[in-house]
Amino acid sequence: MSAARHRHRAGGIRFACPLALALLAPLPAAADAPSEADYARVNAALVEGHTLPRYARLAAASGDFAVAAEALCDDGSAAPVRAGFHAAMDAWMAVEHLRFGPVELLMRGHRFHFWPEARGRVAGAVCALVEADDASALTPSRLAQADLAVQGLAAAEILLYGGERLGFHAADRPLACGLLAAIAANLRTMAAGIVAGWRQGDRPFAATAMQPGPQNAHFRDHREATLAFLASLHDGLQRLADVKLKPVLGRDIASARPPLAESRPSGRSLRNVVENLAALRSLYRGEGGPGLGALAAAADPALDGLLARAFETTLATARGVARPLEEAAADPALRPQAEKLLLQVRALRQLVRERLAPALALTLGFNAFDGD
Amino acid sequence: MPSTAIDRRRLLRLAAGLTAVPAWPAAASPALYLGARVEADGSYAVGGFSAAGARAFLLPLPARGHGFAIRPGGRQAVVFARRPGRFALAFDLARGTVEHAFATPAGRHFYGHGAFSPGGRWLYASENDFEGERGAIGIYDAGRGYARRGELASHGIGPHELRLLSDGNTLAVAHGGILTHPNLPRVALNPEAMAPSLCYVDRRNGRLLRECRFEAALARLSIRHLATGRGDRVALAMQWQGPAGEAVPLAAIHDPRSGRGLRPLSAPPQVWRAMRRYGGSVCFDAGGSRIAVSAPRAGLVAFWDADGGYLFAAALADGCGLAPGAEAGAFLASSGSGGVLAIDAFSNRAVALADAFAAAGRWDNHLAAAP
Repeated sequence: MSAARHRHRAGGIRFACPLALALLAPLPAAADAPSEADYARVNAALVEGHTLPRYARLAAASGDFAVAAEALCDDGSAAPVRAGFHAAMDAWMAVEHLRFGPVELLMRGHRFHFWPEARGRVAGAVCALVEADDASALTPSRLAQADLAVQGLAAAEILLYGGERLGFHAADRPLACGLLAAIAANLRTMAAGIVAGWRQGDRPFAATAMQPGPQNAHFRDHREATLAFLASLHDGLQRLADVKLKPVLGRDIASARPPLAESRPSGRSLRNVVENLAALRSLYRGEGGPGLGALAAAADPALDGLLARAFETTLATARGVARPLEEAAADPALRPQAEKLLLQVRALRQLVRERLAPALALTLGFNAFDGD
Repeated sequence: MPSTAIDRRRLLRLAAGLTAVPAWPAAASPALYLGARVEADGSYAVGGFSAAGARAFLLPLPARGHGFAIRPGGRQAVVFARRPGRFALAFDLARGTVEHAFATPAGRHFYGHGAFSPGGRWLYASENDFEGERGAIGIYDAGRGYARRGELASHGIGPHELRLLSDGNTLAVAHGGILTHPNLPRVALNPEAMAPSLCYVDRRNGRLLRECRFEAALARLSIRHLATGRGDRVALAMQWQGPAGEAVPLAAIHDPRSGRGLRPLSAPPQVWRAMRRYGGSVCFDAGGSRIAVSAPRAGLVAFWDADGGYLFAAALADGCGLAPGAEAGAFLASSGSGGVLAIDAFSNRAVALADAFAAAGRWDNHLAAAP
């Protein structure tokens, strides 16, 4: 494939205009498709430089949160436990795009952060548990068997930030505190379980991802493991657009729906989006080694430049929203920036699907990854 | 299985009764195939094409389409919006022109599939009563411009594909079991409490005739699509919502005339693993002796005999849509990355339709054959 053709293709796209992207027909796979060795090199780097360190940070942050939550029940200081909550939440947002491997087992993903929810299910389940007044239900092991909605970060957030609104009385406080401590301890256990699943045991998932083969139940070849990372990138962008941004923004300011924002009690909906985007950018750029972008650069340097710029632009736009999404969606002055963010995330997703996937000789077909 | 003896007897009687319109014509000879597709400019359409893949018509859609219901009589068909869409178009099969546009009422959206009554007057569509958190079957009067005439309970969460059995009254309804709300499109709100089922519902009164579920270990096996074959045998295609890497069956059959429950099809574990948790469409051939199940994530279409014996798999990148060919053992399979494959499940041979309309089209989840 000639450099001139690359320039021509890149020149046909303006990143800020997603409609132009929609006009692109799918391109044939690059003639110089990555080799198995290319895929293997990127997979190993993404496991060791992206995935494992991020899960290690999740385990550390969850552990700190658990310690702070226990201390809260003793001395009643809320500031450290709130800081611990935010650090754990940041760490979760930094791995939320990784949906394969040990996080899939035991419904850990849903248990860690039960969102989105419907009808105030998390708050309702938290209240029910506190009002049941049964301290024996608040051990981490009992909690691990309880309703998914009370197990994770969203329930912890209700306890830390939604207390007055939920009408907790002083008499409930020991129970609420006990529940918070049990949730945090449960998170610590789950994060440790995810780390152990990747690193330890008869068949660490890191080995599963890096040593594919006919006997490997997950990946028959290196290309399939790269596809799992590419799907993480694509689905992460799709989730940002379709679940985190669009429902809150609505069609216009009159149809904005602030209650659908994530992490509303603690006001960190935008922070979640920024953390998600930063993680996706790292998956593309690589961390301490090549990322998906290295494969793009080899196949189509112009595309790599375009995507690298697109991630920077989108992340800058997200930071520029400046206020929680629920505020920005309903504020005439802030809303245009939030709408711009949605358009850019959608354009990024389309670039990943229509350009990056073919460049990597991978298929993100609209049946395969958007089926019904 | 929550099924009473009375219901089963009743179902047997219904199933064995006189057939108003044979659901299984002896000589099926599809002249026209339908498929939703995405155009090069990103717009959506229904493509009508011949068995050779030549364009019959291209009908623009306001948004992404999904499944079809062919109105008995062979003159008209309905295309449904993909969930959580609310539009449906009844169109002329010869010209590909819209004759009626209709929509779900407020508080409902389509799941993307429907079936006509034997006389072609009533259209039954799978719908989401998302505030009521229950599945519904909307009833539309094709004789009066598809005015909505009411609804039945579907007796489950997430009704998806539905088909009428040969008695003309029993609807077989696949329930994915996943609770969703259009505010949060495509997000499962009940991940731990999925309740997939195959329900048989009497279209005349909404009665639940029988409900079939998988054993508890397969409770996260979402039943989305179904097809009916000879003797009203029902074939199911499922999607596994549990962890990857497990060899979980993604297809099953059920014989409503027997007392038996759902029977997962057999296949080598590596076939189930290769299918990547996702069965996309299911289809019987015109002779009723072969079952095809597409696996778009795997890029393959797998075949069984009608008793559930595994045969082989054909490769088709992003292949999802399936329809029976005119001959016994023949299928058409369509690809989301472009093209339609004609597969002979007797000789295990596959050939791509050469006509550019079929070959260049990026085909969505489902194909339908119009007799």
